[in-house]
Amino acid sequence: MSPSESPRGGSQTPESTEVLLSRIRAGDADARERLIGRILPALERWARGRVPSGARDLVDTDDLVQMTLLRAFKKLEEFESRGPGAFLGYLRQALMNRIRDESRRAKRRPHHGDLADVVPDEDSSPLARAIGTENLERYESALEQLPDEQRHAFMLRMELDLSHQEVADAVGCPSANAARMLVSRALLRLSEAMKDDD
Amino acid sequence: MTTEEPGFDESDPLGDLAARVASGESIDWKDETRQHPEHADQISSLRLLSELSAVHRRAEPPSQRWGPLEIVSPLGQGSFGTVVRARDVRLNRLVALKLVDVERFADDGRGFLDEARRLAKIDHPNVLRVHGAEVHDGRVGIWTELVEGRTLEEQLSAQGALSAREATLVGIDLCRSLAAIHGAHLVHRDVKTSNVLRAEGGRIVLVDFGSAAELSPTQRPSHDAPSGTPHYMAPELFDGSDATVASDLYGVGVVLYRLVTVRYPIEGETISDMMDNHRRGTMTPLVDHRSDLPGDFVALVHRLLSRDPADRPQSAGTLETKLRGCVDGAPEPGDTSRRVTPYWLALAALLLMIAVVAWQPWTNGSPLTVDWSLERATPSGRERLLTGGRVQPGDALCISVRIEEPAYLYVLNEDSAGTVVALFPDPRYQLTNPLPPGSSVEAPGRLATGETRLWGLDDRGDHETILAVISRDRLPALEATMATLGRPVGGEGRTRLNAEVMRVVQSTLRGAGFLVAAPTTSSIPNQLGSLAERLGQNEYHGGIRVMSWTLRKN
Repeated sequence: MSPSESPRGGSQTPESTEVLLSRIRAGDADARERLIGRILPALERWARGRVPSGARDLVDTDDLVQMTLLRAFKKLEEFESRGPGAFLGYLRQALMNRIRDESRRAKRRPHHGDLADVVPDEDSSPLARAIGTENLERYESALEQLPDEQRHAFMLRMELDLSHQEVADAVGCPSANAARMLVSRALLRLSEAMKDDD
Repeated sequence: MTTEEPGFDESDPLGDLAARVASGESIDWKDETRQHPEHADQISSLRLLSELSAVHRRAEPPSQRWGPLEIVSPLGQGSFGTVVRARDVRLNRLVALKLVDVERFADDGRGFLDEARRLAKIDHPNVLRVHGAEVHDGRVGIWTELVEGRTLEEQLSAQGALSAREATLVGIDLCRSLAAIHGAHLVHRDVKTSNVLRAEGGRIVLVDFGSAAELSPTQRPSHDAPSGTPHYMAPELFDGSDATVASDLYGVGVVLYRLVTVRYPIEGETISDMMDNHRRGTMTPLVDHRSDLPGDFVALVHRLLSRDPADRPQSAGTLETKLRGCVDGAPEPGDTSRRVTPYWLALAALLLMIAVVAWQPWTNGSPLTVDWSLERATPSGRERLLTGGRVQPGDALCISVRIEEPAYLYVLNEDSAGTVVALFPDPRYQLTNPLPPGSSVEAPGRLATGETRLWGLDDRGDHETILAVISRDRLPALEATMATLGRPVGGEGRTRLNAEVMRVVQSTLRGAGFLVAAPTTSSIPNQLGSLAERLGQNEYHGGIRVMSWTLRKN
């Protein structure tokens, strides 16, 4: 299940995430593989940005992502009525929870004295290092306050790096441009909230 | 945070900026701030958001490099230095890397590198293979094959003393590794239980060459201080003599002594205590610790521990021959009552405990709710094994448990030969009792190193029974007896569970006074199966549930 396997069938028009999800619910294993191929690389990248370096030796990040994904598929029925984009939003939350658990576990673990200089700092994830822990927390709390549709569109575009067309397919927007507007609106709102919290 | 929807208008400077951020355009942030100073705060937030997005896009596993290697995770402390798991990026393989600050060497590590290069020439299954040694960034590093397993010391603390036969088999492998090392004109200098790994699969590997020194024909003092661990040090080393073949063999003697007693022949709080005890000859004879040891084994260990090096066997090869003589006279495992008794004790303890619980009406709280299943690993996840399901050799199994309150899980396995091994709890794994409530956990789960392990099936035997007990309270008697059973990894236990193409014929959930599935009448004459049946006849088990799965050749 490597990223290189993911684009199947070349010129085939990609189905929307919703279409794939409904096929998976109907027991279509191929749809499941296709959805995994589509979202796994992005989720793995996403998780690598968030796993603190101290937790890396306890858990393989990609492994953690795959486990979360497989678990989420088992709970697919719960997403039936919750609207487009909910599945990915759920995945993000589930991953975030797992990463927090693992980080707490890493902190509780006793250290080998000499290792501090070989193995990087415990607390810092690449994201926290890039924008600071405080900014990251403000970002997360601002994100929670966005309306669902905006939040999902924002996460898919800005965190998981989906194209505007893919975002449109995933959240059920009529066009790529409409998805872009949705993401822009989320950006404005987030930047406003992060500024206000100062 | 405002509750109104901010107007979105691409002709508005902020709206336009947001749209460009959304499209991933590169933005001159200074210029934007200069043009719209009134929005400076929000522009700066937008900049943060765009940086955040950029980090998400490029987040790759961070790596720390040391020369040709990428450091992956810590492994532990060796003598003098730090040991990490690393990746050789040129060959894309995982290795163990030991790093020592160059300042710790008087000669900038040149001697160490020479030794490492000499060790690299040794190609022997019982000697850790050295791949390379270099100096980078002020650290001397030696990298070797990565052996997953545990040290004999870890095995001792988890399982207690070994039988004389098991210790002898370890000793034979140690002799082979030392013969290879001595053959390269090196002495190991630090033979001890924590430097001997039992790899997964049972291979014995001597590790840690941090203190290996060149075997000098002129007997010059090679280092300023003795480098071994005091308990394993031959008495002559305390007097300043150089390490020799004979002092390495003394180390083997201490290892053998410790493997069968979990003690050291010469105890002492400090080095000077130990030196005194050596002089006085205050070694506790092996038989005082264990009277069941074969006489030839005891005599050989005592010879290895002789104060005079000349009284010890003169080479690793000589010692190996003598050890083989001990094995040939020793009973096979399984032949002795010592092997069988703990197993019946385990069952007796379990039955007794259930009987006690059944007699205590006050333990009858709400029924212990548990959702558990035997699962098979598939490329896409885990598949629950139901009655009639199929497993085959090469399959890997685990037990998934979800409970609503903390509880203690115990898992045992019995094969068609009647050998019972303790599957869970297992100190090598991260998951420990009591299991956490509220979410599914998987046993055995992850090793301390973070890698996930499962119980494997091979093609020996024609049936297997797995028995799982979950209890609201800890079951010390069961734990004590399980501690005497073998584990599914390592030479004395079996490496894997046995099965040919087998069918899950029985999947019964019993306990707390009700039966979920009727027990299948089974003609398999196994003990765990009959135990499960006896428990099924018990109408009341308090806070305990028992589940058994039988895999049978179809």
